[in-house]
Amino acid sequence: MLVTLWLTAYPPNRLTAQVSFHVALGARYSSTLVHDSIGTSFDLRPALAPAFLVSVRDELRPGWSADVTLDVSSSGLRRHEGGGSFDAGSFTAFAFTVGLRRHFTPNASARVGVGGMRYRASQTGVFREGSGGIFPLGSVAATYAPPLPFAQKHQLEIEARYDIHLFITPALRTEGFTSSRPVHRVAVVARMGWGG
Amino acid sequence: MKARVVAVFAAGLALAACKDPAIPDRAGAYAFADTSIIGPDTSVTLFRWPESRLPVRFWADPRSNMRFLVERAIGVWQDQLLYGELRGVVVSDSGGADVIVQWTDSVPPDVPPDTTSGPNACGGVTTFEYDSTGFALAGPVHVSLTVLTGSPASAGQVQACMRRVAIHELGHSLGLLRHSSFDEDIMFGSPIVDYPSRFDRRSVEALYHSQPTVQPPPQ
Repeated sequence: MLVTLWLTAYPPNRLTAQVSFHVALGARYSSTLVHDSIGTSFDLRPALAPAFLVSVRDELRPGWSADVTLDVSSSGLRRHEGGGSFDAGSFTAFAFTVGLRRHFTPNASARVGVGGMRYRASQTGVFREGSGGIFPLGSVAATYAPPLPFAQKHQLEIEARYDIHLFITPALRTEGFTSSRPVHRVAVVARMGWGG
Repeated sequence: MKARVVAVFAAGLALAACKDPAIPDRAGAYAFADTSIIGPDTSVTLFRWPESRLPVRFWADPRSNMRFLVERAIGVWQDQLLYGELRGVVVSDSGGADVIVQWTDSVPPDVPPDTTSGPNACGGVTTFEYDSTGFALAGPVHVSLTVLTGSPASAGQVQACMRRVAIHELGHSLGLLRHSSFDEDIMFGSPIVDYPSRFDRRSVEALYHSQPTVQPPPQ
């Protein structure tokens, strides 16, 4: 499916002048990865983390563009239990998405994307038997481009992103969890672009 | 058409967001706290290393392969817990250690373990020293590993035994104060299995989510 989307978005004869390259940096909040109870209830949740994104965007036709985006977040894991918050390791999450963007006005656009996400972490804790492979991921985003000369020159954009994936690892299955948990992530990023 | 695709996508997200996995049943923990009955009162001694004291600092006797045995046992117990409840490190200064692990009497040679069943070849003891209140440790936990005198076991069988007993005794030092009644558990009085069982895991999980009644020694 990804290949089909890619070829749809990027036919071989597309002009390179329409392609732009974007880098974004921001902060991300993630919802609970694991909710568990051993005597008391507790949550395993990533800490607020930096988000780094690189994208290649191509204009399909006026008002529409497609992109491929690599989204990287490194975060500490915290166990929230009994009013306290305790270190539970760390991870880096890589998300690769293919997206379709609709430009409503010259300054506002929205994006829908699908792709996959993979966690990388040392083999301890919930990742002790591996990261669980690639999780399907869906994302939506709203983008605002400030109508300022400097912003337009550097293709500056502010974007609010939301994505969702289902999380489970082999160690959690070993522990007795039988189904995945939806994990919601929200990020606010500032983006700069070149080309196009 | 586009609106329909977006609607289906949004509905998929909403459906996924509603799913919440069931929490697994964790039955099977054995009694790990000490209880003593004095007159009408029952006193429960429940000890674990609190988060503020992690990583637990182990000092290993520098002779033979004690450091390896201790590091291996720490790793085995850390792997029983999913959420960072327990971490341990080996330190080089016994003065700052939380747990001191030593050989008693003879020191076994560092040879590859012989895992074939053999005679009882080694033993261990873990000692807690409480302060005058009985609600705090007065000093580091002491663990002793011993080669049984007069045992006909080979050096390899002694090493295989030491691997089991090191995990068992470090289990005590982490707060599994009592023995399991079942020989499939590493915390059985005379351990014959090489690694913690499902019940050992359930027990150490329960311990590290319990409220301790005994505080660690002052740092």
